[in-house]
Amino acid sequence: MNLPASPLALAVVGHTNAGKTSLLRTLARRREFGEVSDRPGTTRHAEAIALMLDGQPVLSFIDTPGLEDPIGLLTVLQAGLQGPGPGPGPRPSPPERIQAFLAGPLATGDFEQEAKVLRAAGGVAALLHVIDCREPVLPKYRSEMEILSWCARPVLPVLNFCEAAGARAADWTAALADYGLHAVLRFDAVAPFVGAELRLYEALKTLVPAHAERFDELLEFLALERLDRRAASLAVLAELLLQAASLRHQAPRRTLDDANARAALVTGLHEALSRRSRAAVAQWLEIHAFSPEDAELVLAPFHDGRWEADLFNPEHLRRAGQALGAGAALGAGIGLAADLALAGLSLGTGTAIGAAIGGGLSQGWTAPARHLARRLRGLAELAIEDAALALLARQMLTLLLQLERRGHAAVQPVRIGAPADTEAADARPLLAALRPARAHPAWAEPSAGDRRRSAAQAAVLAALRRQLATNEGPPGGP
Amino acid sequence: MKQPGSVAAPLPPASPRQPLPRSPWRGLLLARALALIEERQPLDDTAELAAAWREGRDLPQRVLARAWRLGDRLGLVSTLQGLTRHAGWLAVLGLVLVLLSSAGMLQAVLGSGRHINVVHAFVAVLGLHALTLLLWLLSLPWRPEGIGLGRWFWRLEGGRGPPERQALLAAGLELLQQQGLGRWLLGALSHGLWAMAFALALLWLALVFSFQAYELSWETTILPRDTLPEFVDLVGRWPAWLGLPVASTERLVTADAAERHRLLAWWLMLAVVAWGLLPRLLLCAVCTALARWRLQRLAPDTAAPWVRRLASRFAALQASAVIDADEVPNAPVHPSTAATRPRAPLALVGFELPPEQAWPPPDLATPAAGPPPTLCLRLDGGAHERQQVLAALDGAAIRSVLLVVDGGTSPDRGTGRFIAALQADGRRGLALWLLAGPAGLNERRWSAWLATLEDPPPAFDTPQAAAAWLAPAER
Repeated sequence: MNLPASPLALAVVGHTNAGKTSLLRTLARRREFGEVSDRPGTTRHAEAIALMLDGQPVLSFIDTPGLEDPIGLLTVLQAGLQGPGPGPGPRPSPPERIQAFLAGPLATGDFEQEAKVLRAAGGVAALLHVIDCREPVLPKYRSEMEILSWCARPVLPVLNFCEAAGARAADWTAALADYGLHAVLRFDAVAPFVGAELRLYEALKTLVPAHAERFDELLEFLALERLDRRAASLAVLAELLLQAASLRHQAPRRTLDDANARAALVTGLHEALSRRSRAAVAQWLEIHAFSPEDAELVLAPFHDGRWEADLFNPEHLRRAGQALGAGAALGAGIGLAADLALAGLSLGTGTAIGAAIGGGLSQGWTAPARHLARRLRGLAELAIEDAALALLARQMLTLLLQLERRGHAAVQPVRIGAPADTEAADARPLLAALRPARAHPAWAEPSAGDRRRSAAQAAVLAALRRQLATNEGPPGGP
Repeated sequence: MKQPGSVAAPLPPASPRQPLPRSPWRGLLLARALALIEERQPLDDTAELAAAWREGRDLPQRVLARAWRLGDRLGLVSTLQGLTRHAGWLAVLGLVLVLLSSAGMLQAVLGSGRHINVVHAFVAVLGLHALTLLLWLLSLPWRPEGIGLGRWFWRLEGGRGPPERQALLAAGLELLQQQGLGRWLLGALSHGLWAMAFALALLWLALVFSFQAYELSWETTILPRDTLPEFVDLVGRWPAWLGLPVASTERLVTADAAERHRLLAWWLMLAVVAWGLLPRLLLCAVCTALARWRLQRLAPDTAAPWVRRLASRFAALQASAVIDADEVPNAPVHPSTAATRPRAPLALVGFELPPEQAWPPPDLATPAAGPPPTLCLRLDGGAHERQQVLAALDGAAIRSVLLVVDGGTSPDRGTGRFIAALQADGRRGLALWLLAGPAGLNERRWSAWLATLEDPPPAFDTPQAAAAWLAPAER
């Protein structure tokens, strides 16, 4: 890597509340950058944040205050043109007029904030003009475009909120074309953010061709980061699923005759699973640089029982069961029958939850001796069924895709809903990969240095990757 | 364990031991052990995180820098030093093994008095070696993570002692499993031990043969007569190919007894060199080179969850710089004055309304609003238009204005300046009607902004309130 030490500066400009800081949060993957609020003129100073690549700042984004009175500013700038010029010299060029304005008293007085924008714009390689395209194209916005064109810098218009209802993207595209701006980037700081970052850098690359190499390296770096984040997230998920598959709770067989004790056992198992899932989601949020406050919002359904209802809802389990296929269903059936005979649990057990998890493949295929010993000791075991594991994997993968597409300016929490019936990936390879965990109760806790465990983890990872590829659909889609 | 303050101190740590050299292997071991500890209980690492951020250039460097600092503070580095001292005991154990195996070889050669059957001696010395070497070679195509020894070690050492020690051992095992590192390290160790054992045995044999007379021969009871000479010839080819001075079978057969004993002693020693010492030395060198290469290339896996989480925390440390600070404090907040009563003649002015908004607003054409206002103007906000509207208001001597704006947009200083111009230094009464635009209504934003104006006009967000304001005007 062979980059100059000084970063390429880019100014983010636009009308007040157009979403400049939101754009920067998304680009810098920094949830807490700047201040975003509904108040007009939240950003009142120019603030720079650098994008680092191997310890070198490659890009420096400058967040500027809004251009609040472009009509007034344009009037002042034009007046500077017509004012008493010094003799018969040539007319001042637009940048010279801006320099004259910045040197004048208005730049520290009435138009102090606008002066900050123009000062920042003077020293950068390109301007990102953020536009709230829900607004009609009013004269003040036309003045804004004209002022920015006076800065003599390449301008990339960024149409923010273009996914929102009532967006006037077509009006804006036409208006921007009037000012010679034909390359327009569509973006939505709040809605799911799919590839807009890449398109933005591609557009900047064509706009500032002298630094194309820099943008190429940045794009490559971002792609690597994305792959690394996904690999790390999948490793976390594989670990969660291994733990869930090996998780089991034992109880004396006679306690299972008591409906309350049975329900308590099921609740305990479910609590153990939720605790692990919460920990995994918290890790994901950290990996994707979302704040822990998001975790509470995301995890709200875990607390209020909605998630529980989703995961252990018999209807959902039935649907997931369809995707399991005959082979896995047979395997589950045998395990279930063995334990049912032992535990005296029936599918008619009181609650839907009990019906959903009751039983399980506690010992899988490998440990008949242990099974027999437990039988002699009068113990029964509860484990999480294959269908529930498949559903957990599916919901977590949906959440992962949402996190990957989420912008860092988004305020709404990610919600994991019930999975759609369609495009269900085949869960059989995943369940086959999870089978070894059934025979190892110790795998319910994290541990290092067990090679059989790491081999199983690798197999689960591979199955998850395949499933994710199916879930994701064709690449490049919105 | 060192005191927490010793990290930041410029003096070397108070420990009398030599500081551990910072190899990538040790750094990674510390980093992984810390991650294992953090899985159970988060650590307070604010200072170390910030220092590592400044110290390292990229993510792997920063992860390692943080591990060294944090490991130093939490005593992991000294625990690691303690564990490395165990390596000394391992070396002693290795030496004992070497002595035992070379003694075994000597016993195999010299055990039967002054008479030595060279073929028997050759097989006895190299048999076990050949068997273990074959097993090692056969294990090569298998997955590199198979370290039975690691689990043995874990049973022996793991689960005991403080959690730092356990974490370090678990991290070490995990690292050994990665990328076949354990296989090459163990290979280098075992081949090295064998090579040393051979060297020692050869040295001893040379000494014994130098100063004592032995009778060397080949003899058999049931094997065919030619088998053993052929075997001796076959074994001798490889050392001969290597350029070692091995006597040929013809020479052995033709030589006299004393010369034959001498030649056979040389044959035995050179065969052990070529078939035992040299292969083990070669494999030891190969394993050492591979292990060193992998150790040098060890770096935190940037796709591992624990590294990614650190990456997010490092990224959050990058400060943004305020380059053009706000010097003007926020405008003072004025309390909203009571709604001034409008005075006729009245004007209705629409400002920067969305194009699809009907004008005049149909909501306002109610009997409660009284007769229509004197002027009913609408402007998009252009500079020229503003002048025209202000001139028209002056021309009609308008004394009160109801300004209709899109309450869904963001108010700005341009709007503020126009409001001030409409108010004309208080000579004209003004009220705002925030129309719910396409994006809805954001009255909180507007009322907060209106409060910062010098002379905040009253604002309404329903047509009823606006009509009620218009109605009681004295006409």
